[in-house]
Amino acid sequence: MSLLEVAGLTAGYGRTTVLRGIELAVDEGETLFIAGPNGAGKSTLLKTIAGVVRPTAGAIRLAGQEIASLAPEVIARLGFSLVPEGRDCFAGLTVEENLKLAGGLRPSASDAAAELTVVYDLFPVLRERRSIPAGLLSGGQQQMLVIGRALMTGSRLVAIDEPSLGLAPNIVDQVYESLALLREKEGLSLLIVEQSTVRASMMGGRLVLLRNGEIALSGDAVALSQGTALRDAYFGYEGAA
Amino acid sequence: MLIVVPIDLFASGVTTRTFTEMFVQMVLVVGLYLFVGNSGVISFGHVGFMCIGAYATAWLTVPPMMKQFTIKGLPEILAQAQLPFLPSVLLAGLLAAAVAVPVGLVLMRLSGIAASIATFAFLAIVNNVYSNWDAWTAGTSSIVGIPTETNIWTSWLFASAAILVAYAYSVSRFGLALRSARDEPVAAAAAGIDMVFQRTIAFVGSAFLCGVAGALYAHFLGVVNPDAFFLSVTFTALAMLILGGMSSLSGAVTGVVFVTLLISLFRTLERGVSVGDASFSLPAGSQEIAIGIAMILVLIRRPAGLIGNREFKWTRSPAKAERRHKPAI
Amino acid sequence: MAGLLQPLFDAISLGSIYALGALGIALIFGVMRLINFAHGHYIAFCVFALLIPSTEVVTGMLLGALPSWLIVLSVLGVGALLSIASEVVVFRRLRNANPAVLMIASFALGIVIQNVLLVSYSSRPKSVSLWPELSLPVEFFGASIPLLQVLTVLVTVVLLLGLVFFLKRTRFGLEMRAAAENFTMARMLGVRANRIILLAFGISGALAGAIALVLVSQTGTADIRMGLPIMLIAFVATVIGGMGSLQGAVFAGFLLGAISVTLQLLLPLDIRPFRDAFLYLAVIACLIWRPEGLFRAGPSSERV
Repeated sequence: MSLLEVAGLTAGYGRTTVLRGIELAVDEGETLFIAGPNGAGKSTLLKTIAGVVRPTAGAIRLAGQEIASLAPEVIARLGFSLVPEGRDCFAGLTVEENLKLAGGLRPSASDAAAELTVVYDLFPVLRERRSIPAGLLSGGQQQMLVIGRALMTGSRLVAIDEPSLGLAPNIVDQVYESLALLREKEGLSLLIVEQSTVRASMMGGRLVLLRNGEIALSGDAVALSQGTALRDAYFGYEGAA
Repeated sequence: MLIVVPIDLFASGVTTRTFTEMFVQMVLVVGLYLFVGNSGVISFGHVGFMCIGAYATAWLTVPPMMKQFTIKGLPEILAQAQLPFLPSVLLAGLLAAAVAVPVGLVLMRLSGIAASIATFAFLAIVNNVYSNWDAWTAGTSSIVGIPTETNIWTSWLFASAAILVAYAYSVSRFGLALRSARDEPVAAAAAGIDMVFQRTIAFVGSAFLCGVAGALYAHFLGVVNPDAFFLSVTFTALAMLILGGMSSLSGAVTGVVFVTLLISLFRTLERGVSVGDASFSLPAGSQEIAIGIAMILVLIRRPAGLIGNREFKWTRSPAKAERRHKPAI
Repeated sequence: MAGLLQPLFDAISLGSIYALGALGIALIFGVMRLINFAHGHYIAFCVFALLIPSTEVVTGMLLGALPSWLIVLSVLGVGALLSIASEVVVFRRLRNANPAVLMIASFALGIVIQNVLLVSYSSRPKSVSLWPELSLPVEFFGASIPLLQVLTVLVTVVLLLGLVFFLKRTRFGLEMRAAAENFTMARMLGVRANRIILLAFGISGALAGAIALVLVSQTGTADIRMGLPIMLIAFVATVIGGMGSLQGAVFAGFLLGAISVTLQLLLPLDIRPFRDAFLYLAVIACLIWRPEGLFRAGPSSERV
């Protein structure tokens, strides 16, 4: 059984349908990239899974449990953590408060305290700056903070919306290095929205390509990046399968 | 609008007064819509323009004999003035519009809630000044002797004219520019739309209508008093606009009619109704309680307002609209 | 020195009331973008809870007949319960409505509360003698200050410190600050939205109860309109302070109190009636200068 299963998912805003009949699955320990042009519905897909956007049809199962249309806080408690686009750290809260807030999902305070040490070991800069407001961190540090925050929740499945958005290339390298490390050490399942298919092929995993709210292509990220099928599907050339 | 004819011919005095008041309210709410609906900024200040208009018409139309006693400090030209109804009402609207020019140029630089609070501050200033400017406004006491020339016909004519003005504005290039700036501020700015300027135009236009509404109201009651143009009128007008649907002219009109009917229904109940042999009446204050509850229920059922921001003439069935908007993204 | 002490205390005690009101409004605005126009009516409701419902001018004490400490607890409780009830009955059903609709709903709720009071107590103001001994003056560095003013300031300081402790040192406080900053993100981290909103309403209502106690012991009257002027100033303070910033709301409340007393003191006698006009001109100037408020919620905000 997959950790996350999405079947026939349709969702949108008001009368506008953004997602149509999405099918995908993420296995335990797997990394799935969601790529696609602007407006394809990538962020909407993550928000729908997180419970922020209500699906109009279809099923979402997390570890076998139906979660479609549940409240975001309930879904978070069931073990799905979303790092939204633009990082969304609580700018007025300190670094440590941001982390502790997420630690509230852990069963006990000592458990949360132990995880805090793990996060600080992973991102030492956060420990250094733990008592300053998160809004004063640089973009890269904020990205580390929100990834650390997702770890604090103890979720087995972490979804990240465009981790490279607005960051310098060397910072993006660092972010991806830490994600790869998490996948290896903690066995986390990752769902990453990324415009750059190059990043996906560098890190490895499966990739689905979203276009106009539908899945245009899916397969192994490395294999896909070698042919022209991906490029054709991305830009929507005729004959692309 | 043909309802006016039967009302005038058959209805009792009370009903005629109710509808006359409704048409005056309609001028006010349509004026409010012209700014709020097109700019998206909630204004608490427009009743201030109503106040300015009402006092202006009092200065212009109260017989000089009476002015000597109530408002002694008027300059000679105003103290002697006794204009007919129509020019006085229009001048009252123009004075409100003239005040709106500097106020608008300053306040329209603000957006969102800051703009709303600034308009409220304007209302508070107008109320404070008119309540204490004894020489011109007789302070908190009333000015009496305003000719009661607002009847069902004149109010209906003004309401129709206000609707036409608001409609003409919203289809003009100014209205279009302002609505585009409301929905997509960045794109509109990039297209060269000066939002402050556009908002100021709407602000001045709506101030004119609200000033006219104030003058009509003064000619309806025959007296003016600063506290008649403060919070409760502000909230009633906003409630009418938002209950109807604040982004459409049809919504503004519907809201006025709906709230007026609601109020007169409960007023009737409060006076007492006899059903068969039994007659019952509600205690004082219960009218407002019922209206408040009814408003909350409508908002819960129809959060976008009764009309839902559409216009009457362009209403399509939802299914049709769905088909026309084939998903683009 | 002694001459300045009295206006200073006037400013601080007036500012205290404004600050408590602004805080009550900012708390709710922070978590659900609602400008609660019913807040002033909560204050009036709390005042009337002291009295037995009657339309006569003189009426007996209801909660007011209790021992002092129970009066305080029960009035704060009435405020909290009324506020929580309005969330459960009205605002919860409007969770997805836009702010304008929420605001009009709160205004309609205010009409309902005010007229419930009107029906049960009539519109005539009633005299209430609650803790008359508090109006006795006390010597304070050579100036004689009414004990009540000193107490008002003390109560406010205690409430503010308690709130700061709650917000900074407790789990609920952390969740509330997070929810005020980004409600959706807080929910995605497991913060239980409805519980936080209920809590915010409860605290806000209790603050209204505190204002009610201060007002009724200052004025000695109960009037169904008595909460409104405070609510309006508090509302303005919330915006000047920066919507959603609690420390901003408190600061702006004290600022408005200070400006108000200063204008009263410095304006020449013949323009003194226009004090409020100058106050609101200052408000407009402040908004033009800093449209986002003096304290923006976010990184630039300071600790209380």
